[in-house]
Amino acid sequence: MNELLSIEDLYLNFRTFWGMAYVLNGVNLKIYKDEVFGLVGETGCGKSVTSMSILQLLPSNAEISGKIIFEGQNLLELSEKEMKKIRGEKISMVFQDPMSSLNPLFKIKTQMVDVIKLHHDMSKEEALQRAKELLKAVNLPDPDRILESYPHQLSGGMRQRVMIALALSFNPSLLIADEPTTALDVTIQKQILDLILELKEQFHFSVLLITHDLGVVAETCDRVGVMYAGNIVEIADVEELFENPLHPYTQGLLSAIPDPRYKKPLKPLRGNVPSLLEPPPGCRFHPRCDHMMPVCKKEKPKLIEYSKNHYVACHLYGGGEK
Amino acid sequence: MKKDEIIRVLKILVRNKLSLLGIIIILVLLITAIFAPWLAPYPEQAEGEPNLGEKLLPPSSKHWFGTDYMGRDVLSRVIYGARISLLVAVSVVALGLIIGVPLGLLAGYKGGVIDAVIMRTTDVFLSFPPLLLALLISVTLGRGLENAIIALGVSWWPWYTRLIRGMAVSLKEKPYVEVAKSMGISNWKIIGRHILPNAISPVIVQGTMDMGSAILEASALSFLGLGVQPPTADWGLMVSQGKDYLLNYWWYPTFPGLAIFITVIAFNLVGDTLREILDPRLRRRFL
Repeated sequence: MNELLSIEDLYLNFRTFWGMAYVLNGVNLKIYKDEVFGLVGETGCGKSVTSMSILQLLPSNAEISGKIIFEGQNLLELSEKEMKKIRGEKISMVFQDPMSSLNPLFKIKTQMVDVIKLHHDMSKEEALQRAKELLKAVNLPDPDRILESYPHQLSGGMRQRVMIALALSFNPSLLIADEPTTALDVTIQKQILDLILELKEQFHFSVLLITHDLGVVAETCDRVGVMYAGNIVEIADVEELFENPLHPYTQGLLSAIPDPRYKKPLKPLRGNVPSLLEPPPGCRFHPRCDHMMPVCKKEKPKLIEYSKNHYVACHLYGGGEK
Repeated sequence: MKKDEIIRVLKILVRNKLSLLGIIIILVLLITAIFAPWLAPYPEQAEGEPNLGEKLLPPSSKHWFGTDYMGRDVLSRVIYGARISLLVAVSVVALGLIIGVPLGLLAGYKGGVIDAVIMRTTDVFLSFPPLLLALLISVTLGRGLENAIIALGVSWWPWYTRLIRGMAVSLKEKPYVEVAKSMGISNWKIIGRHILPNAISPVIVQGTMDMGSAILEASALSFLGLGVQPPTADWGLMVSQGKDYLLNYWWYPTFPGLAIFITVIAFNLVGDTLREILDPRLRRRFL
C-alpha cells in the first residue's frame, strides 16, 4: 500500500489567556492511498484540530511542530500561497454542519461556480456544466433545480450532498470528513456514508473520517485510530480493533457501547477528560486507567507495533522499551 | 445581480404597500428637485429675492404655505430645498459608507493589531459630541455646502465601521467561511463574497435612517453659518430660522419641518423593505 499522508510527532499548543494548552501531544499516523481511515475519540481530544493542522487552518495563537508529509512534501514548510493550492485541489474537507456550511445569500449555482472557477481555468458555462456533473455524481435528482435553489430551500441531507460535490470539484486525493453525519438523522447518515464510500471507489481518493460514533467507524472504515487527550493511543484494522482492543481506553470505549443482546449494565469510564492546560504527566490516560503502573506517571508510552498492523501506545505492551 | 433579479426586487418593492408609498414619495422628491424652477410658483423668491411687502402672511391661495420673514413664498423655498436636502442626505451617507464599510470589514475580519488601531480611531472620533466634530472639521475647511458634506461624512463613518465590524467578527466564524478557507479561497474573495453581503443589511437600514439625521445636522451647520449659506433655500436652515416665529407664524417652520419628516419616513420605509429583500430567507414571504 502506498502512503498518502504521514503525520509524524505532531505537537500543537495554543497560547490562551489561562496559559499554554497542550492540545496535540505527539500524534503519529499514516493514511494510505484508497483507504478510509477513521479517527475516533471524545469531544475535545484533538480530532478536529488534527484535521485543521493538515489544512493549516489554525488560529494565530497556535504553535505547531512536527511533520505532516503529504505526497512527499512537508505541509508545515509550505508558504501560505502553496498551501492554498493544496486546499481544495489536493485535500478537501466536508464539515459537520451542512445547515450553515453554505452562504445563505447566494444560490447553489453561484457558490459552486465560484469554487470550480477558482481552481480550473474555465468559462462560466463550462463551470456550470461541471457543477451539474458533480451534483449528478452525488445522486442529487434534478441538478438544474438544485443549482437554482438557495441553501434554505434544501434539506440537511441535500446540503451535505452539495458540500460533498463541492469538495470533489477538483478530484482531491484526500477527503477529510469531519463528523459529516453528526447533524443528520440516522437514515440520511447511512445514505451519506454510503455515498462517500461509493464516490471513493469512483474518484479514487482516501478518506480521513473523523467521528465519535463507533458504529459509523465499524460500518465505513478500513483502519481506525483512537485518540485520547491529544495522543493516538491505538491504530488497527477495524475488525482487529473491535475484536481485540489493546489499550485500556479503547477497551473502556467499547464496553461503553450499549448492546441490546445482553442487558448488562454499561461500564462507563471513570473520571473525566483531563484539562489540556495541565495534562497529567507521563501517559495522559493514567489517572483513569485500571492498570496504572508507576512508570505510567513518569514516561509517555510510544506507539509501537504490537502485532502486525496493530499499533498501541501503552506501557502494558512495552511502549516504554523502544 | 442579474437583470431579471433586479426586476424581481423592484416588483417586490412595488407590491409591498408601505414601500411603494416610500418609493412614490422619494420619486416625487426627486422630480421636485429636478424640476424645481418650473414647479415653484415664485422661483426668484426661492433663490432669495426678498419680497418685504408680504412679510409673514398665513397660507392662502396666493401663497399655499404662507410667506417667511422676508415675504418669500415658503412653498417655493420648500421645493427648492428638496435639491439641497437630497444632495446632502445621499452624499453624507455615501461618504460615510465609503470610508466606514471597508475599514469595518478589515477590522472585523483581520482582527489583532489592525482591528485595535481602527477601532481605537473610531473611539477617538466617537468621543466627540457628534455635531462638535463636524463643526471643527467644517471650520477648518471653511464655509460652504461641499465642506459641510465632507465634514459630516468624515465624522459619520465610525458608526458604520462599528456596525460592520461587529457583523464581520461573528460572520468570520461561520461554517461557510471555514469551508471557503478549506477550499483555498483567498481572504479578499471571502470578504467580498461571504462577509460583506451578509453584513451589509443592518448598514443599509442604518444608512437610510441616517439620511434624515444628515439633513438635520447639515441644517444645524447651516444655522451656525457653516453649511448652506442664506439666502439659499434649505429645509434645515428654514426650520432654524423659523423656530423663533413658531408661536405666532406656525406655517413658517412647520412646512419645511414636515418636508424633512416625510423624507425621513420615506427613506425608512424603503430601507425596511430592502432589508427583507436582501435576505433570501425573508424574501420568501413576498413570493
